[in-house]
Amino acid sequence: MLVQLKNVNKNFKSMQNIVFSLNSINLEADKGEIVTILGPSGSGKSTLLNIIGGIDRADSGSIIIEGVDLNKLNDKEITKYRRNNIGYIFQFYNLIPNLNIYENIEVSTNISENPLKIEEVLDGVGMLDKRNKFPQELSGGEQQRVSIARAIAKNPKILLCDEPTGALDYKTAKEILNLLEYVNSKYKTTIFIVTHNTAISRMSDRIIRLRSGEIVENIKNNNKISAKGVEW
Amino acid sequence: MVMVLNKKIKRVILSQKAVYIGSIILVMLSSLLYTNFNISMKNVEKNKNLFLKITMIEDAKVITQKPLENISELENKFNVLIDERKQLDVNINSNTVLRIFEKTEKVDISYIVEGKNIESDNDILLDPNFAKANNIKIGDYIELPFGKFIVKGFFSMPDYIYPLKSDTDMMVNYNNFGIAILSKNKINEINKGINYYLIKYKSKDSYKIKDYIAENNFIIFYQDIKDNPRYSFVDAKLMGSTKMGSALPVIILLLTSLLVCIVIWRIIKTEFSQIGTLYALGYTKKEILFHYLSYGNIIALLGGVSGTILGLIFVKPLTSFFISYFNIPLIENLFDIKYIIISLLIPYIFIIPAISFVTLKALRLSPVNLMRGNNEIIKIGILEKKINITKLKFISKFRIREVTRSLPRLFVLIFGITIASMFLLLGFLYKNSIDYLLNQSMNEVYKYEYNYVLKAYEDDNNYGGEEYNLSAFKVENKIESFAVLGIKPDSKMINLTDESGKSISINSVIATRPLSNTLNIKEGDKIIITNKYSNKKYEIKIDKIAEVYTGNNIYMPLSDFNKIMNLNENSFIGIFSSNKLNIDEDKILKFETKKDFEEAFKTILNPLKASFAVISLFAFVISLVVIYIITGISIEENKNNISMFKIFGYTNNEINSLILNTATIPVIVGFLISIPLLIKSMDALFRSFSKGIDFAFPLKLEPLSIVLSFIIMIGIYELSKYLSKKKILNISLSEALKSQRE
Repeated sequence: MLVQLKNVNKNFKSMQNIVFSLNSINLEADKGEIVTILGPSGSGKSTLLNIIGGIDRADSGSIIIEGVDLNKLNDKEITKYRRNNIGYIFQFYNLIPNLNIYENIEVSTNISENPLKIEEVLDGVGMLDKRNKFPQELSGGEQQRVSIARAIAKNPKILLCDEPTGALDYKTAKEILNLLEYVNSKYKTTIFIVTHNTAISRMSDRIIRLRSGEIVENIKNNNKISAKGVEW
Repeated sequence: MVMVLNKKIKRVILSQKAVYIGSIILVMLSSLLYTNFNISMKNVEKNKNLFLKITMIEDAKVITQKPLENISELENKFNVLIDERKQLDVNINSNTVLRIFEKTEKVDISYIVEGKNIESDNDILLDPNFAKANNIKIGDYIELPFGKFIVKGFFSMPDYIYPLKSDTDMMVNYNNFGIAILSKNKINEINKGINYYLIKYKSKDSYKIKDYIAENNFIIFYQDIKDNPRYSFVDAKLMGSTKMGSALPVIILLLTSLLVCIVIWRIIKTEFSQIGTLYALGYTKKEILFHYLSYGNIIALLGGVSGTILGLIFVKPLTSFFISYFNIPLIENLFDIKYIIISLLIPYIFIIPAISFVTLKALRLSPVNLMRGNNEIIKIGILEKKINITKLKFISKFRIREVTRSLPRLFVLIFGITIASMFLLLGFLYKNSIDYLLNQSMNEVYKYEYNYVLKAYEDDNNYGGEEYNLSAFKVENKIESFAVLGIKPDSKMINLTDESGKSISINSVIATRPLSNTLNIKEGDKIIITNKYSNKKYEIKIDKIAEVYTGNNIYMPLSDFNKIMNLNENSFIGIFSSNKLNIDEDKILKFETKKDFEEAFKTILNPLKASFAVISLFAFVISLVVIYIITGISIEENKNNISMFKIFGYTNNEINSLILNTATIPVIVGFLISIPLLIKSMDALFRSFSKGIDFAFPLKLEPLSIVLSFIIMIGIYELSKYLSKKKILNISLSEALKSQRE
């Protein structure tokens, strides 16, 4: 098992109350799986993603990635974990505006122990011909392609996608889903997708539904379809 | 409504304390400099003018072969005041000379700074700086070869404001030289030294007295007050300081305005949507503009007021420094309120238009555009687009992209470093130049140890040494006079060299570099020179310019000089010598040793050490503030990227290296630009106020000084990086995630 979460809790303190963001979370994901995390706003989707990504820490419980418990790692070790294992795709792409496309991918390959060839990755996401453009010169869909290329170029084991299609129109969103599927099959990357869009869950191997910080549904998708077939 | 809006000013400022404190410090420095220099200089100048008026400064000094007869008749005829004065030099010990003057009543009257005036023949007045340097107090006794005298008081004298021992000295040395006054009776009783006349003109035709004396007597020496370095140096030095006092604050304010511009533009950029909303709510452009002007208003007010107060606090020490430096009495404190008002207003004059410019730039956009954050305004610069950096490592690419991202910011960074480096290098430049000047003059040009100027021309040199001749000349329409020296073509005492350092043989007419600067002449030029004593005109061709930095002189072969001047073939008036010569004191008009010259030079840096320490402190503050603010803005703008780097797994050291080291190249470029800029600007400054002073300043900057300054600058850069590290550390990983929810 690549990812194992056992009894993970995370709470935030508000003015007077303690608000549970995540409460007794247990889940597992295997290498090469696509996991969709669904739920309304404030249900703890992004917190869960951040804890898996080593960006945030759980208050209790174990987050075991390839046999290592993230909660037992110090800051340096957790940085190293992110560096070698995690690719992150943001809703608003977060490309560096003053670096061109090629250089934006280099941000990621620069620190990777085993990076993929930038040209190969750019070709894979269909952006090789735009390698010298700057982010502002690209459409939203194109920017998200670059963002995906940046995330996979460092050859991560886990790809975390926070609302990857949230800012895109239907057509572009479908293209991005195709791309994620392609990355998953080509590099055997485990992908976690946080989304409001329930339709996306149809292309995943596992569907997790959160409500008020608790998993209300955790099922294996036995009717997985290709990204092309996803409609909403 | 605007009042409500203004509530956030405090919050914004508190959230960016360092930027505002830095800007306030820069404005404070400018106002401090402006108030301090201008009020002090004006105070010194006003006191000087009052002093010159009270003490009836001479217009000319003349030494004649025969005594002047019927002085009162001459006074009436030419509408002048004439006072006769005797002076003699007395060795107090082997190193110290006291020049004693006869007390005068009409011209160059001594002004009592402290104590009492002379009441009896055993009373003596001393120059206060000399007394201080030699630990002599009022009431002390002083032993001279002709008696014991009681120090009655300290005095200043208008023709010795800057008490140089010799006309050719550049700096005073109170340890080795001082002036004193004895009563008329006592001086007559001693009956030694030289006798001359001090003339004060009362009408515009009074100067004609000179021609009359030349016709009816013989002028050995004639000096207009403007040619007296003991008087003219003061104007030159005051002018130099006043120019610095006016130029430096303007430069610092310009830098501050640019910095504030960048800071405010940064605030406005992050507040585009707020501005758009306010617009949509019905706020007018004027109201929004006034809100943003408040940021500048706070900087200008706090910086201007604190700087002006500090400037005023330091007026007294600086005035005292200059007063004592020049030996001008502080008759009354004359504060000019004009400078206080300007000092308070000047930050507004610079900062308000700068902020208006950037605010109005934003206000030109439509409310809708502003509310959308005006994404289209983020353009890719030509430089960013054109620059080819594909072959470089990622880290270099990132830094270059970051540097070229905002050209105004890059400009301010380079400009700030250039200014700070210039301040830093100034002290080194001065020291290196003085060392060079001293070394060149002492060891390469002037080979003699002793220089004697006789009272009259002689034909046979029975004294030894190497004889020479000289006379004073002027060029029409120029107030500066200069000496023409006839020296032996095979002179062993004067070694003139050209630009390449080769010796120039003295069989032609050679002008020194200071004279060529003063008269604006070059090799091959023909000039008409007028003898100051006989008024005869001569045309001479300048064959060579010698790279000698002291002396407003023209050198020519002795025989040619005598021929032109219609003197005997072997005539001479001066002797250069390696040994002390046995010449009757009564025959000597002037005697100087190379040691005196050297001593004066060695003291040149002492009074300036404190000034350079202050200037270096300015350099430190300016560079630290500029680098820190620019780096701070860069961190602020990269907040999202830094957070993202952290998410990707970059270590803190890697992020520090990426973000903080981006200023390395601009810092180096700024430093390198500062070197030629400093030399050029100082050259222009010295040229503008060294006219009439008989030395040129060879601006030299040794490689070691450059390396040392560079190390200091890099040290400041490292310090600002160290201070900025915390900011990077404090950026949370969630920053990039927050933008997800925008």
